[in-house]
Order: sequence, then structure tokens, then C-alpha cells
Amino acid sequence: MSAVTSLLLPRRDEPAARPKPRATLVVSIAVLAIALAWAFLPWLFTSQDPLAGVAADALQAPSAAHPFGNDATGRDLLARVIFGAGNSLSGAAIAVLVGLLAGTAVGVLAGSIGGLVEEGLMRVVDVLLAIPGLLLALSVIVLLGFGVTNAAIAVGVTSIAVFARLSRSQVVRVRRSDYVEAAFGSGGTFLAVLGRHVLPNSLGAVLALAALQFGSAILQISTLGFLGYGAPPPTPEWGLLIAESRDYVASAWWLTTLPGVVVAAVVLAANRIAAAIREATA
Amino acid sequence: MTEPLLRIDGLAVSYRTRHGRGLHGRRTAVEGVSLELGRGEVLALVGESGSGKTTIGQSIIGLLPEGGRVDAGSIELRLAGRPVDLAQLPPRAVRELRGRRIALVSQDPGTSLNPVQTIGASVAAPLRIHAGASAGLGGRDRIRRRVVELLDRVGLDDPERRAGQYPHELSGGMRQRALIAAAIALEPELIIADEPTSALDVTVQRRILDLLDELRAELGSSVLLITHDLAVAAERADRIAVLRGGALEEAGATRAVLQQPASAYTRELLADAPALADLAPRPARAPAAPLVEVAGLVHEYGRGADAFRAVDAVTFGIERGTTHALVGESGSGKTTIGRAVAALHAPTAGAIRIGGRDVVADRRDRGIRRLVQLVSQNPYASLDPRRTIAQTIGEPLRNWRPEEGGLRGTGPGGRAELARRVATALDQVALPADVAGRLPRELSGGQRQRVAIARALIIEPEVVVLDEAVSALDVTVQSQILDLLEALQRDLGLTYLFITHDLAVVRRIADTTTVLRRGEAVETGSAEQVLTAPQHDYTRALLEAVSAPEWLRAAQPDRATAPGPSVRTAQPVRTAQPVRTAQEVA
Repeated sequence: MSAVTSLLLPRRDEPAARPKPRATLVVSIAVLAIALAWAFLPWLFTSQDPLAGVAADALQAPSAAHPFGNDATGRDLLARVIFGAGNSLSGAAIAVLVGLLAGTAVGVLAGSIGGLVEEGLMRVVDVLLAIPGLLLALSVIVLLGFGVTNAAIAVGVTSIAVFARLSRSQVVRVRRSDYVEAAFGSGGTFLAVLGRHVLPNSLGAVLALAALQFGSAILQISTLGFLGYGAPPPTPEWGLLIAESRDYVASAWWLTTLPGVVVAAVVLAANRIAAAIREATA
Repeated sequence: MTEPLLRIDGLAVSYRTRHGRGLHGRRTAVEGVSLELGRGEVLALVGESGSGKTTIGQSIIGLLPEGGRVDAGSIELRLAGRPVDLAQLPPRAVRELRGRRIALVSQDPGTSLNPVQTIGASVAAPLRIHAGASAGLGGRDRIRRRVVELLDRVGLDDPERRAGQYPHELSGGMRQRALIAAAIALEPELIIADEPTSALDVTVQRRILDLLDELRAELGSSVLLITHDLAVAAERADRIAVLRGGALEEAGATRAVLQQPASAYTRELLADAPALADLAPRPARAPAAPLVEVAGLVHEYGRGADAFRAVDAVTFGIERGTTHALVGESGSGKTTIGRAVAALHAPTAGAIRIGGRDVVADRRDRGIRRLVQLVSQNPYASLDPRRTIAQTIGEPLRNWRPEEGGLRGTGPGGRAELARRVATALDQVALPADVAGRLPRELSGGQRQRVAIARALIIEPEVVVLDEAVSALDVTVQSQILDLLEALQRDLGLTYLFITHDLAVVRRIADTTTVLRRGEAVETGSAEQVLTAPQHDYTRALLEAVSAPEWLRAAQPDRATAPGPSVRTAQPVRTAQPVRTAQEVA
């Protein structure tokens, strides 16, 4: 909680008379909280069934009963968006976790050992960076097979390189500091120094990147879902929702627009929070 | 009686701060300061860091950092006979005066020049900005000619070529000359020199100060010289103002103030100024076999034809319980030697032995760490910002098993013991027990350096390498740390390798010394002999550079009768108390 409050406080170097709008941060946290609540407790937010449709309600425009309208088989779109949050957000979480853990491990190893190990690892990372993200994700999916989790892992693999680069640069910066030298000088072993000094002082920026990647992972998973590599229909998933509704763009705008707005809102919120984390740890 | 050029009356400046819960407050940096600076005069503002001397300079030129504000008082600059209050002028008008009437020579020539601009472009900047205002400086060619003329005037050789070079191609002293050239470009009435030589080597310092003096005489400008160095102020200033904690302690003609200081604080500054201290009588000792032996040490950076020889065949020995000082300017290789002795890197050739142990061969053996420890220069960088003081000081103990003198793997039972040893270590370096739970940022520079010393001593090494360990500290704090080091040496029988650029510090603390120049030892011997009867020209040049005027030396109170700890309130000082003996610590 205290971390959140400190994020909400005005920054040190702002003139007191003209505080920057922290309101955007409050809204961002609220948006993400709602999305998370949807993911964990979807039934609290809608009484409609996301899978069973009423044929008579097919392609109904948004109304008081169905705020997001109904799709071609008469399913309530809001219910599908709410139930889809679980798939999309857990996918994004898996993706970030894969990138964060694997990427940071590579980066920290490279940065702290140095020498040939660093050269070798970082050249592999360069190769990863050279391949377009979507192509890499598709290749991984082809290897792993289709599905929500596999799509998430594929997206995570594409972010390993970014995490590795950032964490290596941070580790190299901290490693050159006098206090790390002093720690080695007092007889510290490699692992002890790594755990006590190098990691705690280099992970702030990496965590900010994780929040940023959360937003882009939602987009990428939605992209894969849209292309048909993610969750199979009729599973509610944000990317799939938008993809399924392509045929109705002209006749039922709400089917693509409203889920799209939700995705955009969550991505923007994650970005705003990432910026705040970066400021707070800088 | 002519009117003074600058008259500051009741100046108060504050900075915005943030208290715990995000409430904004203001911290007063300068309060009720009144000063006068006559035409063609040099006024020195002296004081320790945090005394507000730089803030005063910044308020005059209208360049207070963000959050800074002049709360009260006036800064009157007399231009063409009419006083103008700089504190009341709109920023636009102050900008007009900046560079033209008031110029700033800043502290760090390394960062004050734009690295992607040529020296010529940097010096030309004020000429171009004020081109409209100063008639006759229109054309490009004229500006270029004037730049070359200026670079020549400040003593840069081959000014045409220098104008086309970038800052990284020039030495620190040359950069400072270029900055001065930019400052005098429009012949300002007032030059504010904020620690103009603090980042430079001693032999260069003198030449830069001479240059400033000459230019002042030539242009008839007034100089506000901001410095922490009493000797510089004594030698260069007509009048002096001593600041402390944002308030004026005393001001007056330099000689009068320093010869008969009215305030206890001025007396204390005088007593602590190491440049002025007489040679400390180190106890004479019978020659013994050296504990530390360095023989034929060579260190090269790079390989093959490009190799740069940073240390060239340096040989010296240090007897147990004594202090050996390595003295030299930047680039002399003294830090490289210190790090090799501390087993932090391997020399290219040569031998280092401590008590018969081969440091070069054993440097990867962790055990060597219990024999020799390093205290580095910058106490702001050598402590992990995220770890409490207790964690930092206790860390070495957690690296070693009990049979090795540490507490590694002793579990919960060892925790109480750890806390006890940390408390003892804090006491040893005269820090209050309650700093244990604090973070480094809550401590002053001197307190941090004490923490670094405590961390080095807690595993009871025999040799401590002190790499410019007091250079980043104010004189009073510096003096306290030197006292502490002497007491610890006496009580624990420590052997010091003391690396410094400051001969005055050598005078205070060293038994023997080696003077280094570009990697070579030019002179080595007892400190007294080297300092009083130098054999080498370079040693003589170094000594001359730090010498203070004779009258000031006479004015300095005897260290023995200097005000005791009671008036030293920069931080709680307890160095005069007996330090625990080795037996009690163990």
C-alpha cells in the first residue's frame, strides 16, 4: 500500500503551485484494478452467460440491458469481455513473467560474469532482437502448439531480449560502483555480493519495464488471438472477440469497437503505471 | 568614498523541500547576509559545504537551482552609477546582464563545457548572445578573431588550434582557462569564481589563480571568490567573509579577520586548515623490518605498442604501525599502486608482500582480505544506498566463518553477537549508536567516511589502504577523520598506506612518503625529510603550490591550544575520547 501512496504523491522536483496531473495515475490504477477484478471474479460483474446466446437478441445495439450490445449468436458482449479478462490478463502475466525471469537471468549472468559468457549471451540476445517480434512469436507457437498458455509463452519469449539488455546494463552500472568493490574487498563471495548489492540496486528499472511489457503483451496476445493462434472459439478472449467481429464492422460497430476500447484502456493504464514506477525508482 | 559595485543587504534564500508525507516546506539556505564588494576588489566567501556560499553566488547571477528563491533582501549592482536590485529584476533583464556585466567561472571544468561543441564555439557563445548589445562585434570573423585573442590572453598555447578542439582533448587546467576566457569575453564588471580551482591539481591551481588576478587588474573587474580553502582566500582576497550554516560569521579585511578572528568558528577553521598545520611530531621509532614491501612495481594499461605505463618500477616499504603516504597529482599512478597493494588487481610486474605473504599471487584468495582493506575516496559512492549502516558495517562479518574471525552461518544466535560487534565498531569510529538503523543518505559525508572506515576495520586487517580518504570532506571534518585515523593506528597498531594529492595532509599523518610523478617515484624517504628538505624539483614545486603566506601561518593557532571539540558543531564529535583498545574489540 505504501508503495502505491508514494506513487501518487507529487514528484519532488515539481513546483508546488502547479502540480502535474496525478489524476491520470489514479484513473490508471482504477482501470487496472477493475480489469483484474473482472479476471478473478467475473460473475460479480455480470449475470449474463458469456457462452450461451439468445438467438432473438442477435446483433442488438448497446442498450441498458446489454451495455455492450450482443454478438451474432445473441451472446452478451459485456459478459464476454468480462469473462475474457481472465484469459487475456493471465496470458499477459505469463508472458511478462517468462520475459522477466528468463531475460533478467540472462542479463544478470552476462552483466555479472562478464568476459566470454557475456559476449556469447549478448550476441544471442542480438539475434533475438533482430527477428521481428510477431514472427518470433509465431515460430514459437508453431513449435509449442496452439492455445492460450502457449500464445502467452510465445509472447514472453519475444520480450526476453529486451529484459536481458536492460538488466545487463543495470548490473554493469552497479557492478562498477565503489560499494560493490568494497563488498568484494571485504571478502564477499560472488553470490553474496550479487544477492546483497547487485540485484536490489539494479531491478528497479527492470520492474518498470515489466509493467510496460504487461501492456504490450495484452496487445500481442490479442494479435495472436486475432490471427487464430490463441484461444479457440468460443472461449472469450479479447483478441479473439475483436477478430470474430470483423465481419460485422459495417453493420454492428460495437462488436469490434467496445472490446478494442477496453484493450486500449488497459494498455494505456499499464503504460502510465510503468512511467510512474520508473519515476519513483529513478 | 566611492560606491561599492555590489551591495548585498539582508539576503535570505530558501529551497523547497519535501517532508515525509509529501508536504512541501522550505529550508533556509542563506539568512540575513549583507556584503559589499568594491570595484576592482576581490572578496572571498569561505565556508564549508552547506554554508551557503555557492547559493549566494547563484542568487547574484540569477541562476538558483529549481526550487530556490530569494525570500528577502536586496542585491544591488551599481551600473553606470545607478544601483539596480538584481533580486527585483525580471528574469529577462537579469539574462541581459549575465555574461555582459556578471560572469561565472564554475567549479568543474570537466562538466561545464559542452562536450560536443568546440572550445571556440563555447567561448564565442557570450559574444554571439550579446552581439546586438555590444557594438562592433557583429561579423563572424570578428567573433573568431576575438575568440582566438581571448584564448591567447588566458595563456592557451596555439590558440587557433585550441579553438577548433573539443573539451576532451584538453587537460583540466586548459579547460578552466577556456572557461575563464568565456567569462571575460565581454569584460564583465563582476566575475563570480565558484571554487575555480578545486577540481585541479595543486600546481595548476596556482597558475589559474595567478591568471584570474592578472585579468582582474587588467579589466578592473571585481571578483567574488568562492572557496573552501583559507590559504587561497588569504593569498588572493582583499576582504573575506566567513559563512556558516547560511549566516555570516564575520567579514572584513582579510588580514584583520584571519590574524584576529572575532568568531570562534573562524579560529576553528584556521586550526583545521591542513595547509597551515605545522609538521605533526610523529614519534620517532627504531628502524624495523617492513611489514609491507613493494618492489619494482610496474602497471601497464593496454597491451603492445599502445600500452600506457601508469606505474613504473616503484619500490617502497612500510614498517608495522606506521603510515606511508603516496603523493602525486592526478595521473601519477598512486591509486593504481594502492589498488594493487589492496589485492584488487594484479600489477604487470613487480612484487608486493605483506608480512611475508605474496599479495600478487594470493589476490584471488579471499583470505588476503583479512590482511589488507581499502577505504575509497568517495563516501557517497562506497556505501550501498539501500542498506542500513548496521548491515553495511556487519557485512564483512557475514562473509567469514567464526574460526576466521567472522560470524557467517552462526544463525539466530550470531545475530545478537553481530549487533554487538557493529555497536562496538560504531563506537570505535565515534558514531552514535542510533545511526545503525539509518540509511547512508541520512548521514553527512564525514559520518559516511567513518562508516566506511568501520567496515574496513571490523575484520581486523593489519594494513589499511586509504585512497584519498579525506579529500572529499570539509577541512573541519577532514581534520576529525585524520584525528580518528591516528587514534585507531595508535590503539590497534594499524599500518596505513595513505594515498593523497595533498601535501598538507601528508604533513599531518605520514611517517614516510613517496612522491610520484607520471608513474615514477621521484623521491622517497621520511615525511619530515621530504617536506622540509626536498631533493627533487617536482617535490619543491608541489610544496610551493600549497604554501600559505607567512603571516597566515603565524596567525594559525597552535593545534594543541585550538578550540576543542566543544565548539566543533559541524557534527557530534567524539574523536577526542579514548578509542577502544584492540583487546576490548576482540
